[in-house]
Amino acid sequence: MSDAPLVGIIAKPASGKDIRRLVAHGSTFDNNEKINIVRRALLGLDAAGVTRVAYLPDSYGIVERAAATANPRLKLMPLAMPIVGHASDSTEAAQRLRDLGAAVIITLGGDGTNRVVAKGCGDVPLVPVSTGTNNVFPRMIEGTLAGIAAGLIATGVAHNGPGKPRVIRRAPRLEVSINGEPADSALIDVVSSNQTWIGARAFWEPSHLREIVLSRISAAAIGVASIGGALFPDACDGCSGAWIAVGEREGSARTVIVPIAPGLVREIPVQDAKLLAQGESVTLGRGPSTIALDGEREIEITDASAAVSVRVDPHGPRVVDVEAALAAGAAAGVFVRTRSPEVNPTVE
Amino acid sequence: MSVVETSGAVAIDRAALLDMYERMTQIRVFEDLAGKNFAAGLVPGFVHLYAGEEAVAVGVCSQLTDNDFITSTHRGHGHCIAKGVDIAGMVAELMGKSTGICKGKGGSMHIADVEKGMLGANGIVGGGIPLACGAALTAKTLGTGGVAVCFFGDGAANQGTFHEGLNLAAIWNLPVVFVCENNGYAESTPVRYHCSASDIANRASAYEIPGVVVDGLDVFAVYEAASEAIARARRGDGPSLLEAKTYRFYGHFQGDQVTYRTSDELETFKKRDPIIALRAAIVARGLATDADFNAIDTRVHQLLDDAWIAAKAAAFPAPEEALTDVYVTY
Repeated sequence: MSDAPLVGIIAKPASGKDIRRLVAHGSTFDNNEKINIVRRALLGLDAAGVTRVAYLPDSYGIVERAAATANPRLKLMPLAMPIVGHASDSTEAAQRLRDLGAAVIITLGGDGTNRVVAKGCGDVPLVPVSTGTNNVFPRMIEGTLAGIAAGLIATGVAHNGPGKPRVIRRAPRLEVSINGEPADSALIDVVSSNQTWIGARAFWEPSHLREIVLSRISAAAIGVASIGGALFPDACDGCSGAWIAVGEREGSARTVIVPIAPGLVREIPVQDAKLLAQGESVTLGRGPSTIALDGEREIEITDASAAVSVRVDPHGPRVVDVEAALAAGAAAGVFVRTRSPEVNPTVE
Repeated sequence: MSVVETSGAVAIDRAALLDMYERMTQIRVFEDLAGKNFAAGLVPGFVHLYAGEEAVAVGVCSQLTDNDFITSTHRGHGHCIAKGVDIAGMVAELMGKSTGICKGKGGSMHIADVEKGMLGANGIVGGGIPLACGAALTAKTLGTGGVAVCFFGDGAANQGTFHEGLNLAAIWNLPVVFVCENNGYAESTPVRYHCSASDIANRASAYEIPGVVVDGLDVFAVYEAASEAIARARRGDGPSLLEAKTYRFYGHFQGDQVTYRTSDELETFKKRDPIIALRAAIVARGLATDADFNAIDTRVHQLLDDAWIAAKAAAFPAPEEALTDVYVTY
């Protein structure tokens, strides 16, 4: 049965424990709950007919622990890879799942986890289940439904086809270049901050904001992405990005009141802002800074002359629309079984 | 829409950065010499060395005053130095000399300096946790504005005192910051064998206080998280738990054969030496030169060399003073 569709799972044990529990009101997402979600996802996959699952063998054993009390029919295969306890583990796992021909990858984490997965997964579609803090990319999805949706994609029941609602959509991303050289990427937001240290990584303090580049515009976003939603109510989410310069400036009378982190609603002065077309680049102001990608400070810019540019790339990761996939399953009739007349349930 | 302003995030200036570098270097050199002189038979009892974990003690204590209390562990030299305890007095204490900070009667595992807010190293694993709660209760009751910081290890997180202490601090809303120095091993037992939680910070949620994981090898990360936790405690918003993932470069104690971890693992972590990383970060920003660092290094070595010379020359406590300062009558 080596041709049976393969589903990947990347559940990152580290997400959901950063400093925003202290400075904002982020919930602590413990690994036990991640195990519960993975367990439900495995049961959903099994119900949808998936028989093979490969996964990132994290240090805590999230998938193994989930499987211990889940349906044993699934063949679970840990990826044979070294674990270094860094975000690069997730990128490596995504690359390996892609190379193994995985049909879909379920991720558990926040924007940060999906960012590093997207760097390795290529065109393998993602089912991102939110367990992080400032989450715009993954959504709060019930684990069983995530598993069933992933299973419907893997088994080919739900797919993009002519005349059918799209079940997999291409998400945009942001490409960051330094002095013209590709440096990194983000899925939702790139922030230039006047903090010069990566430190505790998470970005939350609005007084440190200088410039923001967004891949998407949505008022229903938490974190800096919410600023774009506040400024551009008429822009369609996914059609364009935005560039926003933050801070007080003579003559600038505009502020936005937005949820900059969970439970942290702040008023933020805006100097200037514009929409960015897909494919468009913007060069950020020079000077020592820290570049945060999807909410985490990742790059320290110590060279004051370094030119940091950000491009809105429409060709980001492919993402499963869980509702659409389940609707496609329903349309295909896979959730309905018609009993044949000779079978009498009361006899069974 | 209306907003509530909260405290801004921290900035660290050049002087503070160089001071952190000097303190971390003092700890490293102190520990290297303590290990060397222990091997030479000059230090009675046991020594547990803190080298590798300097970013935690310094990242936290550089934001405390003498009005704030800390409690420590069997691996307490770094906490003492970071809290400002006299280094020459510490060296003499290790040797059991009468010039020691506790007149030679505490030794490595019982160094204390109440004037500096250092309530003591502690031979009992998890023993400092209730003490920190008591110090925090004092600060709260007397309205001193002080906070208590409790350093403890990953092994202590499995002791009853940890759970009792977090519960007590939470229900009394005490100004205490629990700092778990998770160096990966309780003596020789890896965390994954002794602890049901992959992140000890997760246990905070059971007591409904914030729990944060921070890179304990990065002094900036520790400083930033500690800054917020300390500010929270000072504001009267209650306790929090920081888990600093760190690593000790030496064994559990001097003489430990360290058969439970690989040399590859040690080398991997030594590449992330927190002192070298801090120095590189300061240099990269043009805030100091190699000459500045060499001057600091020279000063630290001189300080420690002088301390050992003085301690070696000092007298042991007189036999008739054996019971002096040992017991307290209430």
